[in-house]
Amino acid sequence: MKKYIFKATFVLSMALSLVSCQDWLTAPSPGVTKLNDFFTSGSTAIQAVNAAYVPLMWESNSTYFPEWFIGDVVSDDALKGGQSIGDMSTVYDMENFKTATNNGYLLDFYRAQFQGIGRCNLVLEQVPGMKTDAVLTASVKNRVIGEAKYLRAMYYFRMVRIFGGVPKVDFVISSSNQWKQPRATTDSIYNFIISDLKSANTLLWKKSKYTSSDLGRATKGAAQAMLLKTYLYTKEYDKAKSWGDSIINSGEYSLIPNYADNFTLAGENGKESVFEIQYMADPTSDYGEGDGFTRGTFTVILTRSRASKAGGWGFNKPTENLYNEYETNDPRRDATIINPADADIENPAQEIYLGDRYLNKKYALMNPDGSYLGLSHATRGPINNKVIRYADVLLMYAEACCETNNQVAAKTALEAVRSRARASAAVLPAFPYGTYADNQTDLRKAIRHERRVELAMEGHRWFDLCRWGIAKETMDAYKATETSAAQNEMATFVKGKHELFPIPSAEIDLNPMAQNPGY
Amino acid sequence: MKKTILLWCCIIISQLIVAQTWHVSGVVTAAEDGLPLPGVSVMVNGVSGLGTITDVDGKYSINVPEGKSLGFTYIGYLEQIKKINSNAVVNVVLESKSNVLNEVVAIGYGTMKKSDLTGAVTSIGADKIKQIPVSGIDQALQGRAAGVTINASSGQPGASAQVRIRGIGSILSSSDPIYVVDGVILDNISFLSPGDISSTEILKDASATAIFGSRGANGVILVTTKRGSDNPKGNISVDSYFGVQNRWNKLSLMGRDEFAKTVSTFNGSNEYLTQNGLNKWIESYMTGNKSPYFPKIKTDTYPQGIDYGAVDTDWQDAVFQKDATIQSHHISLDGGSKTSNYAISASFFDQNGTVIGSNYNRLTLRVNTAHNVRSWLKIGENLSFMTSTGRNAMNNNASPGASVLSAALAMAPWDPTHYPQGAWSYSTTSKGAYPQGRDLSGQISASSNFKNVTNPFSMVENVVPKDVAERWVGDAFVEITPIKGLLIRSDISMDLSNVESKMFKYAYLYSAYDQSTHNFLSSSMTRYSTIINENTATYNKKIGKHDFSVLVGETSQEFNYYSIGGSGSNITNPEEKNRYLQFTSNSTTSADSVRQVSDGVARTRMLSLLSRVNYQFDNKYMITANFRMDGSNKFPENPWGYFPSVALGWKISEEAFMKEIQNLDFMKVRLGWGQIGNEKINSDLFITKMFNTGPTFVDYVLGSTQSLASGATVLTYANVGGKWETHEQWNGGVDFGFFNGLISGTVDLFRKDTKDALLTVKGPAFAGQRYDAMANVGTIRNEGIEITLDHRNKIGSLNYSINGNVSFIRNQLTKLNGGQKIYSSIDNILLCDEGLPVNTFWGYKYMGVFTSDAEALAYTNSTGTIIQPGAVGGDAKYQDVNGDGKIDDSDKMNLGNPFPWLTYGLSLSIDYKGFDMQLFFQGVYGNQIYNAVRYRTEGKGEEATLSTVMRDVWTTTNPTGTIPNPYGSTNNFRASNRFIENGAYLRLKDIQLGYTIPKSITQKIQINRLRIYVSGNNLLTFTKYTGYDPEIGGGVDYGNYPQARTILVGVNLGF
Repeated sequence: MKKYIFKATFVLSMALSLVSCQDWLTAPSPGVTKLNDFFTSGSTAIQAVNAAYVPLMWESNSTYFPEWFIGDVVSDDALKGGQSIGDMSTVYDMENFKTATNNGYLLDFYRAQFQGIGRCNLVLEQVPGMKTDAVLTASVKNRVIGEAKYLRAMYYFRMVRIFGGVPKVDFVISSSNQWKQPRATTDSIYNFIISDLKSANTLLWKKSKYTSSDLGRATKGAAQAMLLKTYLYTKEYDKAKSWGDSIINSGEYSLIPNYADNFTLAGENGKESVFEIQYMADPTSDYGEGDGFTRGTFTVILTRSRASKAGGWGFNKPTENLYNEYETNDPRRDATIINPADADIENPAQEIYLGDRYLNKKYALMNPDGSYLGLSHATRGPINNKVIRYADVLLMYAEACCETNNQVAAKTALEAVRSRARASAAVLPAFPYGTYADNQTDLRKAIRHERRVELAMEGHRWFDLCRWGIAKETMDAYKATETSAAQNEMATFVKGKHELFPIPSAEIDLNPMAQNPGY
Repeated sequence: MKKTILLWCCIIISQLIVAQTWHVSGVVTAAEDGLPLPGVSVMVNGVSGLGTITDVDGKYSINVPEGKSLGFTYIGYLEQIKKINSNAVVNVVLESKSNVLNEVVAIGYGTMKKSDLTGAVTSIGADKIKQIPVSGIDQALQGRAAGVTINASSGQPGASAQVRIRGIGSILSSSDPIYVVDGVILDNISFLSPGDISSTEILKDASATAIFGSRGANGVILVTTKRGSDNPKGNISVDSYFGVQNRWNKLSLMGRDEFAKTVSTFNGSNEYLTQNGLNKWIESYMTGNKSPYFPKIKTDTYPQGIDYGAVDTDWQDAVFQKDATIQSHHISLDGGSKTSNYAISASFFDQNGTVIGSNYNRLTLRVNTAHNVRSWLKIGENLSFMTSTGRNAMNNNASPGASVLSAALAMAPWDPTHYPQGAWSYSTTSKGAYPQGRDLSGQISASSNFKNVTNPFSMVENVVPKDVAERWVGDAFVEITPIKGLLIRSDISMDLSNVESKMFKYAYLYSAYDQSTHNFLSSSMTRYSTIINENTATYNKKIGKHDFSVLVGETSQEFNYYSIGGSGSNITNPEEKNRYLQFTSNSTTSADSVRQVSDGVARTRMLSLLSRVNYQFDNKYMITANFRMDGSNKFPENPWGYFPSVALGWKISEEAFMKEIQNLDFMKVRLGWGQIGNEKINSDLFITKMFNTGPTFVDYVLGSTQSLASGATVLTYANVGGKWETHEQWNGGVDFGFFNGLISGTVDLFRKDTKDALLTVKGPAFAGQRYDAMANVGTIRNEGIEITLDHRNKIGSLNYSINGNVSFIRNQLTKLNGGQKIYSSIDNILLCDEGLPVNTFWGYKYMGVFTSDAEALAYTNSTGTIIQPGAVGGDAKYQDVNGDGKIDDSDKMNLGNPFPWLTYGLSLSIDYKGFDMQLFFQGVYGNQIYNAVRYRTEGKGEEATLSTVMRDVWTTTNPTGTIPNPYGSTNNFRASNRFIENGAYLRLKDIQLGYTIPKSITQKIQINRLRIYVSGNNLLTFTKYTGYDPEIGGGVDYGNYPQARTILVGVNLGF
C-alpha cells in the first residue's frame, strides 16, 4: 500500500512538475543562435557590419543587375550588347525606354538594396548599446556605427537615383506587422542620406588609419565624397564645394600617374581610390542561389568579348557616340574602349550588336599585351568596382566650384584631371581649349565633357545626365547618331517620365504606394 | 484519501475471503464445426484477474464465487455469459461473430466496443495485413479502408508508401498520419513486421483523433500487436513465405535499327546532329558509311575491334532482374498465466529488387510482457529491435545520372552493357580516357552518343553504399487500479535509432561524364531519439442507465536529432578495410581533396494535457467530448494550442419504434465536430536567427590581400504570432447491419478545413528578408464521402465474405491570404494556388500538331493576330486560353491533379472444407500523371531511345503525323497536357489460395493449425497509363521504380 501511495505521488508530482514547467518548452534550441543572444562580444559588431557591405557586391539573382546596366547602358555611352536583342531583355527594355513595371532587373536591384539597408539597421540597432572591449574599442565602435551609416546612405543613394523616393526604413523590421510603410519623397530620402553621411563623417576613420587588413572599409574621405556628390544631386553647390574642400585638403588622396592603372588588379585600393566594392578571385561556388553566392564579380564575364579567346558575353558596348567624344589622341579612349580588329570578330552576328563593334576595356581585365587575364572561375572576376575615384571627386568639385562661380578653383581641379590624362603627351590642352571660351557656360560644358570621358564605362553617365536635367536633349541627339538598326529599337524619350524607372509592381502589390509618373 | 483507499482495499479483500465458491467445469466448442476451442478465456465477471482458459481439448475448470457469472470470450466469437448457482458441468457452444460491430477496438488511450464508437474509425484485421508480401504495414493497408489513400510510390524494396487520410490537409507541414503502436506514438513503423500485428484501427475524424491532439491532425493509425494470453502451454506460430518477383510491364521502345533510321528521318535532325556532334551510328544510316567508332570498330585492319553490328542491347531487359527473390519468416511465441503473459517474436524479411542494385533486408525482434503483480497493480513493457540494410536503385529521378532505370533509358541500343572480350581502346586524342590499345575486355561500356549519361552498371558497380539502421522502440508502463473503475497509468516510451551511412565510390574512367577522378568516401552517423512520458487516469462507472468514462492525462515528449559525418577522397589503398575517413587524404591546398566534416542538431519538445469524457445513456445515446492542450517549442510566442472536439452517437436500432423493423440488426448514426492542431514543420522557424556560417551571403572581401572577413546577420526575420495550424473537421456517419449479419456497412461524410495553414509569405523588400518567412495564412478544404459494405454468408460448408470500400475526396486550397503560391517539379508543372486542388498540374493546353506552315499561319485569334508566330508544320499547337493572340503564362490552365478523387478496394474471401481463397482488388480514379519519361522517349533521340509511338512523328513525308517534330520549335516541349495521362488503375493486388490440413490429422503431430498457400500479387493491372506503373509518388513519373509481380508460396503453422 505504501508502495502504491509512493507511486501515485510520484506520478502526480511528475505530472505537475512538467505542467508547471513552461520553461522546458521555451528553452533555447541547440545549434541555433538567436538574434537576441548574438551580440555579446565586440567581434560580433564587426561581423555584423561586414555583412552589411555584402549586398553592395550582389549582381545576380533571377537576372543580372549590376548598376552599370543603367549608368552606362541606358545612357548615350553604351548599348546593351549580348548575343542578341533578346539577351537580357529586361535591360533591353530599360535601354530603349520601354520599361514595364514588372521588370525583373529592377525588382532584383530594389530588393538587394533593401537587404543591405536591413543589415545596416541591425548594426545600428544593436551596436550603439554594446559595451566596449579589447576588440570593440570606443574608436572601433564609432567606426562600425559610421560604416553602417555610410552603407545605409549608399544603398539609399543607389535607389533614389533610379526610383526617386522609396520607403524610408531606419529601424529593424522585426515582424510582419511593420510590413506597410509609406513611400518617402525624393527630398526626404536625400535628407536622410545627408544626415547619415554627416554622422558617418564624424565617426569614420581616415583611410590612412586603417591597417592593410581593413582596406576596403568605408572611410571619412568616402563619406565626404558622398556628401559632395549628394549635394550636387540636391543642387546645393556651396555645401558640395565645402565638402570637396575637406576631402581635397585632407591629403589622403591623389591621382595616380597612369590613368589605365586604375583598372588593373595592382591598382586596387590605391591612392586614387576613395571607395570600391571589393571582389576577389573565387574558384568555387559554381551553383548559385543568386544574390551573394560568389565573392567575384560577373562584370568581367558580362562585358568581355564574345570571341572565344575572351569567352565573355559581350554586354555594355561603348557607342560610336562615346568613341567620338574623345579629343584627338586622348589616351583615355584606348584605355576605355576596345575597337577589335576584324580578324578578332569571329562571329559578327553575335559580336556586333546593332552595328556596334566596341567593347568595354575597363572591366575586361587585360594584360599589358592585350591578352585576357585568365580567371580562376569561368564567370567570376576579381576586379573591384570603382565606385568613387579621386578623379571623380576633382570633377565633382570642379562642377561645384563652377556652379558657385569659383572658376579658378574649378579650372584647377579640371586641369589636374586633364594633366594626369595627357601625361607627357602633347594633347589635351588646358582649359580654355578648342571651341570652349573662358566663361562659366563653356567651363560647365568642358567639365561635363571631361566627366564623360574620364569616367566613361564606370556607371556614372546616365545619372549625370538626369541630374543635369539634360537627359531628353542628350538622348535625342545621341539617337540621331546611332545606326538605323539601333534607332529602330528605341522608343521616344518622355521628359518627366524616363529620368526615373518604375517602382517594381511586385513591391507595390506588397506595400501599396504611388507609382512614378507615366508608368 | 489514504483512508478511503485502505477502506476500499479492505472491502475487496474481505469479499474474496468471505464468499462461498462453486466448482464449475465443461467443454467449449465452436458452433460451426462442433470442434473444441482451445484458448477460450473463461472469466469470473466482476472479479478482476479471476479466470482461466480452455485447454487444447476445449476443457476448463474453475472455482466461481457465489453470485457471480462466468464470461466466455474468444477472438472472433460472440461472448457468452452463464450464471452459476451450483457446482456444475457447463458446456458452452460459442457462435462465430457475424457482426463486426461487436468487436472491441482500440481507441486512443483505451478500448471501446465498436458499436459504441462516435467517431469515424476503420478496423483492419491481421489477416488482411499479412495477406500482401510487403515489408511495411503502410503498403499492406492500401485499398483496405475508405478515406485512406495509400500510394505505394515505389517498387524499391523497403520503400515506404505515401499515406493520406482524408486528403491533403497541409502544404508545407507534413500531411503524414501518425502511428500508435501499443500506445507508443511514432512517425513511421518500418521497424514492425506485419506478422506481429493483431489489429489495426484507422482513426479518421477529429473526434476520434482528438485525443492525440496535434499529433493526430492527419489521422492516426493505431496498431495493436500480438499480446500474450493466459495459456500456460503457450502458442507457437510460424509464418513463412518465399517468392519470386518480376517486372510486369515494359515500355515499348524502338530497337537499334529502327531507332537510328527514325531519327535520321526527322525534319531538321540532319543539321542539328551535324552541329551538335553527329552520332556515328545514326550517321551510318544517313550516309551509308560505317564510320570509325569508339572503341575501334571491328575491321580487317583492327580485328580486335568491336563488331557494333552485332550489338543490339535491350537496356530494359538488362537492368530488370528476372525472378528476384522475396522471403519472410516470422516466428512468435505467446502464453502466460493468470497473472503474467508474454509474447515474443522474431522475423526476417529479405527482398531483392526487380531492378539491379536494389535490395532490402530486415531483422526484427519483439517482446512484450505484462504482469498483474497485485490485484491493483499491473506492469508491463513492449520492446522492439530492428536492424535493416539495403541499397536502392535511386528512385524516380529526372536526372539519368541518378536513377538506374532512368539511366538505362538514356543508354543507346547500340551500346553493349560491357565491352566484349578482346575489345581495345581506339583513341586519337589525349583526353586520357583510353590510351590507344588499352584492353577493354569486360569493362563497363561508355555511353556512345548521349551527353551526361552514366552507365547504369557503373552506378551499381562503382558505388558501394552501406546503410545500416538500428532502431529500438519500446515502452514500460505501470497501471494502478486503486478503486474499482479507476485506472491510473504511467508510461515511458522511447524510439531510438542510429543510422550508419557510408558511400564509397571508386575512381574510374569510362567517359568524360561517366567517371570519378578520385575515389571518394562519405560517411555519417545519425541518431534520432524520441522519449515520451504519458500519465493518464481513467475512471469508468455505470449507474443505472448511465455509463460514463472519464480520462485525464498529461504527456510530454522530446525529439532529438544529431548527426556527424564527413567526406574525403584519395584513399591510397581503397580496400574495404580501409574505407574510413582516417585513410582519406587531407590536403590543405587542393580543393577537391580536403577532408570535410559537419554535424547537425535539432530538438523539438511538446507538452500536452488531455481529457476525454464518454457518456452513454441507456445503451442508446452516446456522447464523446475531448479537450486537449498542446504546447510546442516550435511556436515560441504561442506555444499553446487548445483543441476541443465533441461527437454524438445514437443507436437508433435500440429504440422501441425501430425494433419493429424486420431484418435490421443494428443502426447507429454519428455526428462529430472537432479541432486539431498540426505543428509538423521544422523547428525554429519562428525564431529570428543570426546567420554566420560559411562564406555565402555574409562574408565580405577586405584587406590588401583580398581575403574573406567573416560576417553575420539576420537573413530572415521570423514572423510574429506563429501558431498551430488548426484542422477543423465535421463528420456525419451511419453504421448499419441487416439480415442477421448478411450485410453491414458504414457511410461517412466529412468536411475538413485547415485553417491558419503554414505557408511562406513574401514580405516587401524593405523587410530585408533573404528567405521568406512562414506565417499562418492558408486555408485548405478536404471533403468527401466514404462507404464501406460487408456481406457475409454461409451456404452449407461454404463461407464467403465480400468487403468493398469506396471513397470520394475533393481537395482545394481555398485561400492563400498573402501566402506564396508554390510551383514545383519539372517546368514548374505542379502548382499550389488559391482555388485549385493542392498540387494541380498547371500548364498549356496542347491541341495537336500543325500539319503545315499554312495551318500555323492560319491559327489566329478573333482579331486576326497570329497566335504562334514562327511556328511551322510539325510544331505543337497550344490553346490561346485568354484569346489575346499570344501564348504566354496567362494561358496556363488547370490540367488535372495527381490526387485521385475516387479510391476503392474490393476483397472477396471464400472458405470451404479447409480450402480458402482470397481476392483483393484495389484502384484509384480521377488522378493524372505527368509522364516525364515521354519527354525523353518522344524527344530528339539524344536523351533516350525513342518510343515506338514516334513512328507517327510529323515529317514532311508524313504530314498527318500526330507527334510534334522534336527538332521543331523548343515550344514543342512546353509544360502542357501533352504528357499528362490518366492515372486511373484497377489492380488485382492479391490472389491467394490456401488449404488448411484438418486438425484431426495435424493434432496427431501436435500441430493445431497448418495452412499452406500460394499467392500472386499484381497479377492483373488495368490502366491506360503508358508508363511503367501507375503508382507514382508525387504525380510526376521520371521512370519510377515499378511495382513487381510476385508469385509466392507460404505456410502458416501453429502449435
